[in-house]
Amino acid sequence: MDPAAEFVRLWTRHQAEVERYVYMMIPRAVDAGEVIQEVSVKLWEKWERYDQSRPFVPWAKKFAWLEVLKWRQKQARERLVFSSSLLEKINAAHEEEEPVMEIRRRALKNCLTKLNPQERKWVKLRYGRHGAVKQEAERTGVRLHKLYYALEKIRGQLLECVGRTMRKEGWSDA
Amino acid sequence: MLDPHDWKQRLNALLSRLVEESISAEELSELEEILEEYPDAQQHYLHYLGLHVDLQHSKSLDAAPAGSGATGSKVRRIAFLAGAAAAIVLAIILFIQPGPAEPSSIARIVKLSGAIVWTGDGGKMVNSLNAGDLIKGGTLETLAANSWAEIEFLDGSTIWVSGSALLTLSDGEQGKFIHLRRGDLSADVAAQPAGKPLRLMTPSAEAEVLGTQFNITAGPDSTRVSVNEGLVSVERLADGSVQEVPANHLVVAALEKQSEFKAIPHGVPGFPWSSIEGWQSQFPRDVRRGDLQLPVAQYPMRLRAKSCLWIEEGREPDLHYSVNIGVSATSRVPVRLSENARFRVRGRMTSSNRVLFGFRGNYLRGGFAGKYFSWRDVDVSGHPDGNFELDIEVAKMTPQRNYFPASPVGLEIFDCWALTHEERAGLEIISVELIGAE
Repeated sequence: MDPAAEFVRLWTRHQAEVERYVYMMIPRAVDAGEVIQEVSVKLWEKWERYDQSRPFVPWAKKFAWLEVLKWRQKQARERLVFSSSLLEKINAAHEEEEPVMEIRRRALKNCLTKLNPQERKWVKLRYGRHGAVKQEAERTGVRLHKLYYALEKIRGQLLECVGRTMRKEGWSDA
Repeated sequence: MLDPHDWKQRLNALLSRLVEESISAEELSELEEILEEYPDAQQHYLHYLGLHVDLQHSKSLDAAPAGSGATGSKVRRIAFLAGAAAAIVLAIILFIQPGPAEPSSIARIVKLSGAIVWTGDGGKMVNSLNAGDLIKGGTLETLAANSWAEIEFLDGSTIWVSGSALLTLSDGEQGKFIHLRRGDLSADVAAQPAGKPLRLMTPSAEAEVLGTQFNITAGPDSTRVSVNEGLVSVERLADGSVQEVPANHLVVAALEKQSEFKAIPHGVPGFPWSSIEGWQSQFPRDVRRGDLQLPVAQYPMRLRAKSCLWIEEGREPDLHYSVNIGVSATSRVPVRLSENARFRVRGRMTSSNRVLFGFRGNYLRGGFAGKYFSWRDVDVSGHPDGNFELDIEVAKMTPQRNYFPASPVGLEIFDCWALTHEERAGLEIISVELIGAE
């Protein structure tokens, strides 16, 4: 296959996964998006050196990590960024977690079916349509922070459920 | 040291604020302390953020609720999964249909260019959309600055999306819904059924439209709605206040309540269509892409080119160094290209190089018209500061595609850009001026 076409194919296919990784380090969507743009540039610049017999995503993540550090350096004076040492720790923890992420995703799918109708409604509002939580608060007269607290609890519940499912399947670290 | 139960509870609260992007600097420090101190907290952090991202992409939210099939014996569970898999396969087959419209298709891809990924409501990702494809509800992502797409709903309402943009489309019993998470969108909306306006959401605003033409630019912190025809009702999500934006007016809705939220006229009152033909860039107001360099000694404020990769299936990726400057995109008055208009571009480079200057034109009454460009060999060898000045006649600029109008004269200029393919050229733009008819 033409190497350039192969790059386009692999990057469009795996961009979301690399974005997810960057978001773990830089949990602000707009900043993570900027870093991803830089990552795509670096990957293309280094594409000739890519060994196509090896998996693409780990290779891409190495460059993503370097771009995260570079971004961190640029933002050093900002208060809303993690320290470099913490980023190192999160990155190391991410490497350990990576093999089970897909399993967690599958478990989450099942856990979502266990939410009661009200909880499902909140999750759908929050993740289905931007701004819908606020609208619902206005419509029902419930204070917005209460809805966000409800969402916080639901996410906690879902995490517990995913953990339980993983343990049942024999994953001791979950 | 906190009890594990305590730190987990506190951690969840902080992580909730983190993913909602409402965390304060103090809370972030507290989060850091917990993450530094407890290795288990780091794992929890990854699980929490992973869950958040998975929920954002989850297509399972419409799946059957508890007790409706996912219980019982292993055999029953397998049967359920097989059924779900069959449903997914069926859904995948139906997402992109080159054939005639089925009732559940909501729109048609009219034209497109650049790297574009379409994710149908069932989660199937397609990166080889073609003109003429029918689509159901789903998410369209234009991945690069050179990407754009024209999409026509079945009632003839048309939207144009350009640059790096992300939007979700649906059309059902409640009417049409567009969620523009980021990017530029232009819409020409046919009259909608009574009580079912087209609703458009961005990170900072919501608009309701019954039938009109408008342009919308959604950034992370603000949304600019510019109405050319009809009336658009815009709600600022920061405080729920609403502005009715009539024809030839625009409004900017920020994520905070302090800035002005008021519909203002496009240009000179009294003209049937208000626009201007002369324009000069202003930094930082007009910066859309590039690293802003503050004035130092003899150098004025300038915009330094940033690396950018344009990708498009079937073409070699294009790595270049570019700036993007808003024209109508960031001005309160639409800027129109007149017969003898020309650009005067001032900048500097560290070495002589080829520079491309281009712009995006919209039809004055709405809708994406095309992109135009001109290459110039810029020689800065005789200039100690590397300064250059380009004079570019608009009428002589080349359309990027042969189906764009041959001449951009009469179009509204939305934004413009300059680029080189050499990083070492060190391209910086000091100003761009559009000189109208004289």
